[in-house]
Amino acid sequence: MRSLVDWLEARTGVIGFLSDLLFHAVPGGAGWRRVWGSLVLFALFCQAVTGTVLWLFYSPGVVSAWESVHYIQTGVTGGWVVRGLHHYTAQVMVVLLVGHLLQLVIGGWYRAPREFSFWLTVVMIGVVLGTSFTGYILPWDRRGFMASTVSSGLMANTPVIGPWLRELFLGGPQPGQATLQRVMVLHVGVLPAVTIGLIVLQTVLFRRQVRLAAGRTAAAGGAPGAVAEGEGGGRTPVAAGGDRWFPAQAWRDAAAGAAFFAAMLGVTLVMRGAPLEAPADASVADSSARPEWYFLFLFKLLHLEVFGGARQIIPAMILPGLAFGFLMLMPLLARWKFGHRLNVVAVGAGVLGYAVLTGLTWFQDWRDPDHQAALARAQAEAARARHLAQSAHGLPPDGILSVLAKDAVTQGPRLFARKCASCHSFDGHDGTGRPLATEASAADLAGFGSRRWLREFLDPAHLTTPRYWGETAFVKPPEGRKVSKMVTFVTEDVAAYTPAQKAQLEKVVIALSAEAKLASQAAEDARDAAVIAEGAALLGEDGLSCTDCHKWRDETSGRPDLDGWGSRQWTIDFIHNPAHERFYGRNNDRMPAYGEKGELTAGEIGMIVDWMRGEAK
Amino acid sequence: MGPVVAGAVVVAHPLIERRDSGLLVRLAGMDDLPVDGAPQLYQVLAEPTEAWLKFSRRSIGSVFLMRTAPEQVRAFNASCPHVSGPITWREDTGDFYCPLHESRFAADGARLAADSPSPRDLDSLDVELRGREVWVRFQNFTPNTAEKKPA
Repeated sequence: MRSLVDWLEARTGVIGFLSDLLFHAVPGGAGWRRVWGSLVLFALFCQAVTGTVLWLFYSPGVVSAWESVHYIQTGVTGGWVVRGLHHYTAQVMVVLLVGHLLQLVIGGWYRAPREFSFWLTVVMIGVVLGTSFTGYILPWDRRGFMASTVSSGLMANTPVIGPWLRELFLGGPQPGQATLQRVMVLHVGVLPAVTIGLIVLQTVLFRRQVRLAAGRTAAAGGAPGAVAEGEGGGRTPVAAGGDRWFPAQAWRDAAAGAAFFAAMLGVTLVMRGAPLEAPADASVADSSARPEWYFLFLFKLLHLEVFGGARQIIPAMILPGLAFGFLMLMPLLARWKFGHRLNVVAVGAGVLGYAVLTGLTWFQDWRDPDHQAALARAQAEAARARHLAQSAHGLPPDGILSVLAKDAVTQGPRLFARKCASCHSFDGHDGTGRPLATEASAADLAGFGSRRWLREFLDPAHLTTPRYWGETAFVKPPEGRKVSKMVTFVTEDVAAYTPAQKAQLEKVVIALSAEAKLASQAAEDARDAAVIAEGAALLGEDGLSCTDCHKWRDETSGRPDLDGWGSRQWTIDFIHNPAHERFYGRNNDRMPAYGEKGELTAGEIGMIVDWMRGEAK
Repeated sequence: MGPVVAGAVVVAHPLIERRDSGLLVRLAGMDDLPVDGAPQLYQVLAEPTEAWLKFSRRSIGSVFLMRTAPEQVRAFNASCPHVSGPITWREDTGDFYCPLHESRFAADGARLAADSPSPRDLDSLDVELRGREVWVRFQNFTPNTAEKKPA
């Protein structure tokens, strides 16, 4: 055994190296406050392991990034746990590193002869922030997309080389396929390689310090018995009252690592894994996206008016550059009498400012109703995308966006907002929950086809209000035209109805509304079959004489056609061309023939109608 | 050095690629645009390519169209010239607004604050009227530079 150890040592030096690593003297003795450095290493190890596992399943690309992350979350055994660990450890890593830095500064451990070790730690913080930043772009959700868009936009502001820098990072003129591949290479290749390089350098420096310290202790003679027994030949001496790393510090480091891992696992389980936002979609105006919390201070600084225009370079580049430069200079400053105190105060002020800006952004977002509304919309869209991806049991090769493009729940309100909301409202808003850009000039279409909608439409108290026809040419005709006959009918005839006629009108409402075949009204329609039959007859000459003007059952002329009024097909045909003879004919107000003019495809009209009817699944 | 130089050239591929000269698209009919000049947002649908991917019909951006005279139309790219945030038109305040860093622009596209986050005014696009049809040369520009350069 002994000869094998000697043989290995003679050829590789590995035994001496391990011996230094395990049995080096811990300056000032073992203690809990010395676990930080080991914790950072342990966290990096966790990231390497979980990251490699995620790498097995992740596929960079505009049609596969979000999709593969969703698969990791839902289809891969334990995938969501591993992604959760990776995500939350990345968050805490920033805290660990900043804590470690604070400790180095406050404890004065950055001074000679440890300047290099400190510099490497500062560089490491930069590399870890870069790795986190590239990491949250990879899922290609709203946050990742905005992060690449905004950060590349900021890069473009760099003097002289800005636009080139931006396109080198993006890999093209806009964020997309090439961006994800470049970011992937940075995240799993370049930056981890730099991190490993930094750890190796730290280890080399560390060993040198151990050897130097051992030399000093030995030269000082040490306390009797404190010089280690000669086993293994390489153990360095320990000063009186001192501890060796193993076991005194080792068990503390191990306990801290175990507690850290347990905490990460706990957070992952409680939060049900890491979040996955709605997929990136350049055509959706989403203002809710924010950078990860550790970059919120930059976000806040960029919002301050003093940093507007050409001065945006100050928070975007100069301030981070100055902070980095100052940190690097600190070991040299510490040679000056008050240098150390200055460093402690500066770092303290920096951390405090960072915390205040971060907290302020949180607080303002929390109080901002616009941001909260945008956030709620984005969360609903995210939930919808996840639901579709999961219920489809797999996604087509052209990705989640191709599924969302055919999804009435998603597209219905957007199409309504884009094409219909310049005149119509939907329950007072534009379909997506935002207020209308311009005052509505046509009927509110929420509940179109329902008994409630029709009852109010035929009510003299409602028809001429802006919610129905109040702002249309039917009520306010242009010069030389008359008020619509339908309006006169409601405001004059219906207004003068006897109670008996009003009862008939209610039956007509129920019968006509049944034509719409709304799923939400199916139970009532089935229950009221007798009333519906009665109402259907009352539309004719023996009742309220709707057929004087309208096409209905045996009456084959007149418009708009009331057969199938408000049904899915009727509404689709209407949107296709409202000026068709079957609908308004030449009396059509301003509504365009969306289908006939090619403004909307048949599929798009179908999605608007399905969504309006509340029947999009 | 050899491998480094060869590698650098390949990494710089996006800088060497040809510039985007824009895509002429029909966005609206003249009669779809309100005579009062209120800006209307239109999606630009195309079949874009990215690296080796060619996408079927999808949105590649959006454009604000507005009438400036009975037979005159102005067009703006709806992407903020600062860092490409989504610009919206606010009827109540009568300005274009970007929610990301609160850049504001007047109806003619001019920045509304001396220290606007945006280094230039809204990016106008060339408009071509063909009879009653409004055609626009859609183009994206490098964000966050004082000069308007095609991306």
